[in-house]
Amino acid sequence: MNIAKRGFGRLESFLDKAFGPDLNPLCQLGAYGYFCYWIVAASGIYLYIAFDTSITGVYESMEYLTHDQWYLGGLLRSFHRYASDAMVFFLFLHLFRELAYGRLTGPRAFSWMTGVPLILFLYAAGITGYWLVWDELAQYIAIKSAEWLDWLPIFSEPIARNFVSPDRVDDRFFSLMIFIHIFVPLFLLLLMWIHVQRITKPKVNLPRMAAFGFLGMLTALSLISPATSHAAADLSKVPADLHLDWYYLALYPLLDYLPAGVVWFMAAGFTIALLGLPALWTKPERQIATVHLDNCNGCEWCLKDCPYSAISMVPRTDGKPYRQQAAVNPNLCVGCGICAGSCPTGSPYRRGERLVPGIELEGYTLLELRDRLTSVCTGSGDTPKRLVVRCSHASKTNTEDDPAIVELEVPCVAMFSPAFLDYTLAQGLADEVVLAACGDGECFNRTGLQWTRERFARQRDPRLRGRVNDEKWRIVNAGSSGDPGIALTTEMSKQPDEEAVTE
Amino acid sequence: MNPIRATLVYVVLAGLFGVLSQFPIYPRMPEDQAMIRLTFTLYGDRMEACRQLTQEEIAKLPQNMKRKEICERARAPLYVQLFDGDQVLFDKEVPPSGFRDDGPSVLYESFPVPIGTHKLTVNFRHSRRAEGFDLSETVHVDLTSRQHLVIDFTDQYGLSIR
Repeated sequence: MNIAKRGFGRLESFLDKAFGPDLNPLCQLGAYGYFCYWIVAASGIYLYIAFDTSITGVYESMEYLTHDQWYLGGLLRSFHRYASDAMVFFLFLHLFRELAYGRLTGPRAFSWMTGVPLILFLYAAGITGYWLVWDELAQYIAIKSAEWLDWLPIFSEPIARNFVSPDRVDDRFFSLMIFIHIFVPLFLLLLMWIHVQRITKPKVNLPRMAAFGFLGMLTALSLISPATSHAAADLSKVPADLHLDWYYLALYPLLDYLPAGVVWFMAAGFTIALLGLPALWTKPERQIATVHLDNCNGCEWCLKDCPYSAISMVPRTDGKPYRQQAAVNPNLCVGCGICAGSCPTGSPYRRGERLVPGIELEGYTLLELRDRLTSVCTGSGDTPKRLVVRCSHASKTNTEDDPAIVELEVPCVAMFSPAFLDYTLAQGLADEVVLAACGDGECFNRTGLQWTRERFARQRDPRLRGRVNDEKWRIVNAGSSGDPGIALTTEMSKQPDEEAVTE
Repeated sequence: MNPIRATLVYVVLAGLFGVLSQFPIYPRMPEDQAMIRLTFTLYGDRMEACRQLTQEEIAKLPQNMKRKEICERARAPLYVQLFDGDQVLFDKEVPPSGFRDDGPSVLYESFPVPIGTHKLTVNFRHSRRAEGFDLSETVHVDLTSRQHLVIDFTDQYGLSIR
């Protein structure tokens, strides 16, 4: 998996340079999937209006759209085809990327498990679409699908017998197929909605620039290579030389060479393997966030910043004069510590016998984090020139040869609040601070890097105090898509990259 | 954003979508072949003939289940042979479907054959007889490239080769 992770990292790095971190397609795969769905749905509505469901009219209506009305119907048909293909492409890229980064266990298992049936529904939607054209390819798919389904001992008569001669296929067949082709995608949309329910602020909308770019690409492709039909279906002939859509129909040739049962076994095996992967995967050890009611005023900052919807606000239980208090769902908490970094009471400056904020992470409490910070910065006796606050998912910094650089590891850079940066510099614990994040466009904990950038750019609470010199800190990408040594080499003379701050 | 690199990425994506959505071409069947499909959904004769009930037996039946004859549910398997000249394409007994062997025998088999003239012989037994056939037919067909010839048998129309 490390090789796959490195591969995705390199690709992400290349795409960062092409599109910038905010438009990087690899960090928007889900949004691209949603965008493709809407393109398919919108183009499908127009195609449905012009579609003739009679046995004699179905092929002609598609030919009319493709050739006589190429400028609209033909273009939309191509959009329908290519956006559907793109959806499969983005879906599998998304799946393999999440697998490579190990994002399938714990609270993330829900998204993984609900993502698996998405694949099946997407394929069912796409394949039934190919039946509707009723050309030679549709004939081949119809017969092979029927033969494949007939292996299941649930049909009293083989469905494939419906395609042995032309007189067996009637108008109602296409009415049924269009019904399936509309309702399966609606269920698909429902599953897509369920798929993102356990995460906050899911990326389901493409940035406008990316949407225009993708639409432009689809338009160019549709004009250069418009989607066309094969010859009309003829059940007295065996379809040959088929232009298969390999995104959807790659399994069909197997049905020509393997028994249907073997192909069922392969498909079922693949599905079960995907569903079982979270159980087999090594679960990373995780700490759970804890709320301390004495210091929680129900401000909701942690609620807004939690990327996994693990925090909710509930009515006050301790009689204090606040309306609500934070509550952590331990089943959803991944232990990223972003909530601890968002808490306004999570300041290391606070005095008192016990340094306890409103919310903190077990194993990385506010007191422990301050002690670790002090320990790594004063361990050698001299004040280090540079403190590297490294996300545990970023590349390790080689600080052994240079005593002027020390490293503090945290579960996510967003746990290191602006108050900690202020504290580090003001107390003279280090001359400068580099926050080494695990990504650029997207971090392991989804929004950790974005919140950090916004907090340090003084755009989001808790904000960095104005007195902090911006030339004393930097946020860098030390993840698989970045430079592992950048935390050591990055220069402080430049201001933080304002473009990288996400709105 | 680097427009040249971004355009290059879009060109690669367009290539992936445009090419893999139709290429490589899948050569489903060579030009010098045709397909014979042998298929039917047909009930074999009952394993035991229906028996007339006596008046005493009818009297013992509940009011809503009275009938004149009783039939065992099990059906005889169909025995089918298909020859292409001297070559055996199919020679099997097709059992009835259903948990009680009371459903129709179902067959759906395909045989790729070379194009040209073929002497096809179909032998069919659906009764309880142990030897011989209830139906036997030989036809000469001239199969053209990628022709789909269907040998079907229905209760309504009997054997059809088309």
